[in-house]
Amino acid sequence: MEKSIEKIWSESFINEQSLIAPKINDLYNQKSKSLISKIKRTYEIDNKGLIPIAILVFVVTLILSEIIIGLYGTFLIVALYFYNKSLLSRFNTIDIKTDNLTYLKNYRTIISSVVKSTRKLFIFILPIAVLSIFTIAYFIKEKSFLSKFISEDTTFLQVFGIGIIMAISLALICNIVYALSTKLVYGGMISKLDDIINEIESLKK
Amino acid sequence: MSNDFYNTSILPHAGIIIKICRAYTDTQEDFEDFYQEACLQIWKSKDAFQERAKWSTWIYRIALNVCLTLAKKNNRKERVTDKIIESSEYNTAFQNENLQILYRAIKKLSDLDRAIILMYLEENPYKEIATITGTSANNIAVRINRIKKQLKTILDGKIN
Repeated sequence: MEKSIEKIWSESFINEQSLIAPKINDLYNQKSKSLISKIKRTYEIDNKGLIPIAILVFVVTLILSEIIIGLYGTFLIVALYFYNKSLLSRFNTIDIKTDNLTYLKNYRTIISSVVKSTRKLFIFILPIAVLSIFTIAYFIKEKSFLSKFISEDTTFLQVFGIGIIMAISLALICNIVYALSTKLVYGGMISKLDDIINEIESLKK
Repeated sequence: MSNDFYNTSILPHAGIIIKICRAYTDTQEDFEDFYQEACLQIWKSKDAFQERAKWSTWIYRIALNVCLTLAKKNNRKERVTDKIIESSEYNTAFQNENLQILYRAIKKLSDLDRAIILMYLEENPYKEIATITGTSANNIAVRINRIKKQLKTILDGKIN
């Protein structure tokens, strides 16, 4: 005769020792591991996106016969790629053997420093790069596509002035775009990371 | 959450949390996630506990709510009940073959029906099940009869 579900249930759990509770110490291991690898992967994909941009800049400027500026622009983007790569390599310096909380906190600190460094780059380095492109464009104007826009009587100060306006505008736009994209792409993941850190901290109390 | 709280207030009731979590998960990884989240939420809501109810009922209610919420999230990703991907560790957790079959059948029920039948199997009175689920005792009685019939159809001939 078939057993009733009530009988199966009560007989199966006579010895409740068979119900082994998972280790509570590992509470956040799985969660944090997947989150960390997601953040790391997104940063890496983001940075690798600079390579096709560098190639595109080179090809477009080549088509426009703007070889020197093209090479310089490509060099700047490739330099940015390596700069980011060196920033991201900080993630590999975190000791994975440390406890969960220390590991996550270290990770969070590095994320903050990467964001800070990138902001500094947009504020200080980008304007210099833009100004240098304008300077190069002025001095090679005879051979340059830009010569169409720089007449014979244009002074260096005039070009430099436009360069400054462009540099400031670009720095502002890049900062805003970076802040927005960071919020959109990483915002959710970073707040999850903060939540986990807060929860572990409260667990320790 | 202090070890003391876990050892004295949660661990003695771990059995019921495990039973609930098993009914809403298909892999060991999910099971551990659900269990841990349930423990965390129990700890977080401990201050809201009122002595009027039993602590075990409180735990039951929270564990169930956590499982229902997480199950809903997981359902959005993929429903795996029919192609149960169970790790060997997960499979061997319950030695009793009949229990494994019963659990598989329970997993084919809707989320709410799973909750109700689990509480019924744990011998919770209809009134308490009604309080936890927010319905009436009569409604629960009718529903349990229907669920049992449903389970009987699923289990027909499969139980030794």
